[in-house]
Amino acid sequence: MRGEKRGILARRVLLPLFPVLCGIAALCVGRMGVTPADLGRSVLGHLTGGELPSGLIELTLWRVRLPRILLAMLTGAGLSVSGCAFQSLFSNPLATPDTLGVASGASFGAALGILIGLPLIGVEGMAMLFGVAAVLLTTLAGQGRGGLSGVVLAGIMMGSLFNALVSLVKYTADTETQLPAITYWLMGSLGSANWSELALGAPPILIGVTVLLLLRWRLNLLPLTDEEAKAAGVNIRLLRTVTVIAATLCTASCVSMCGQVGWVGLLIPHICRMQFGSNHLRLLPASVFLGAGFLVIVDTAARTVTASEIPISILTAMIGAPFFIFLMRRSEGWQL
Amino acid sequence: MKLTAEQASFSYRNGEPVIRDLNFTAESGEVTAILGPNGAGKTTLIKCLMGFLRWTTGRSLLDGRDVRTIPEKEFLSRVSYVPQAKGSRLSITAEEMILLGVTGRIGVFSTPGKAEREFVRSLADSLGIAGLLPKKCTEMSGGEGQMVLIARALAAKPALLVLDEPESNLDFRNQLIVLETLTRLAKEGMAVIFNTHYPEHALTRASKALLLAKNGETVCGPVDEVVTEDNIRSAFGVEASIREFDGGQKGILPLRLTKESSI
Repeated sequence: MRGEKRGILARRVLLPLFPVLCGIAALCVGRMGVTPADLGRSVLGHLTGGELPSGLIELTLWRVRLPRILLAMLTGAGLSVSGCAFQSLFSNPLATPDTLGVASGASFGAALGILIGLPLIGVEGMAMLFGVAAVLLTTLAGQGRGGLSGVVLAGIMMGSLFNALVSLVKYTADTETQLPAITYWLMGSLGSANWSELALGAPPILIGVTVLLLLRWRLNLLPLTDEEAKAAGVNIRLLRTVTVIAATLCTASCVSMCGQVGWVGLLIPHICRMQFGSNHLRLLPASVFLGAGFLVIVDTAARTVTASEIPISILTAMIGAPFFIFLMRRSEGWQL
Repeated sequence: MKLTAEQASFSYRNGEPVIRDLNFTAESGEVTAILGPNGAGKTTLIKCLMGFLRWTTGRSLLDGRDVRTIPEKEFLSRVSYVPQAKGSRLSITAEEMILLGVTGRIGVFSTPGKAEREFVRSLADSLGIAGLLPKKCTEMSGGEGQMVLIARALAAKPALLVLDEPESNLDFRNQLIVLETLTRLAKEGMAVIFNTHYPEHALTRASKALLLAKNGETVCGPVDEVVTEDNIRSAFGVEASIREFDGGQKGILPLRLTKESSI
């Protein structure tokens, strides 16, 4: 019983606090020296109308770091929840948010946008557009007798098709300016974060995450067979469609703002499955909080460890893979 | 509660009919057994009865209403289904697995609350599996898993329970546990239909039997008239002997293959 109480404490209190604490800590970390005292003074100043720290610190805190931290939280949460939903949907522990080709499609859209010289907002719009289009094409191609495995296969095909198109764009791109821009975009960065970008990119993620969170009990039915799910009185086709749409909205928006952020959608859901079990009632909220906190930590490392920024996908893999192997060996292994 | 099939036939696309001109009725308080050799289409028949597959011709009626006119949700709130328990189970607890059965009764965005959890607890109690509730489905034996699936189907509070080979792959004791459960549910007023590979289980547990032959023809009626040595010979190609034991219980012993039967 005491163990159970500790479990509830961890789940209900510590988990939601985790991303918040990570975020507050990340506000005080970076090349521009901001101490926790500065942060405290600034918050107090804004609340009471009292004295504020210097303008540079204000700018760093609220115009540079906070939007970036929020973007990291949203992306971490969005990718984790999407990965979680796709693993259950396809009954496949290797499924990621990209299983239906959304990230490959988005990458092509972004590369194309850079090639034709669109401004950043246009590049992100193209990424979102092609990400959604790739998933649409995948579901159209995969429908039919093969069932869900047919869709997964179609997703692999669509992914490789769009990856080939990305290579084609890179090949034709100007090697002095465009090629590096495309390459850096593909490696992923949260450096472009600002409030106006968040205003556009956050709603799809928030909507996707909210829908999946609201449906979290029903998501437990996803790994069952059609007949079993129907017998439980659930319209399984509708549930699957809504899941795909919500996860795609999330992922496409994340990728369009940050580029490819690998591993989060695989790593976080499995860590949560090992720690909190496979019931989505607990699994999904846990993935949201852990994913949000994890990406804040990784992004903070990305912008502070070296003088120039490290692409985030490199860090998620370098931190994620060993940690995951460690966890997998310590627990019962991975299962759905 | 009464489920009727009228002149019902089913064939897969461009194929020979799997089921031909089936007429039968399952009623409250009755256990109906569906028998037939491997590949005869027992599972197909069950899927047709459940509405997962559509009859090619003919129809099913639920209490006199054509099933196609009943909204799926309403139909499935009265008729529940227990699939063949094989392989990949989820690593969730038995309690959570059984709770999935109430999903159709709660709102789309809701999660099962205290009332549902208590209902599942008393349901498990009545099935004698309360001790299993905290156990993970991946760590269960075949018999335990089957009872959990039955409980999940019962959690939808059906009037008709349809089971696909509920006692396959189970040992003697677990077979009896499952069969006793079916008998008891029928006594309490539920209609029960189950697929089985064991003519003996039909003979000892069911009041009605439906024998499905490889060519899609069916024999349906009171179990004593359907499960006979003659019918077993023609449907399974097996010489069998039906005997009565001292207590009046019947048993079937398969003796040998018939001469004309081929594999």
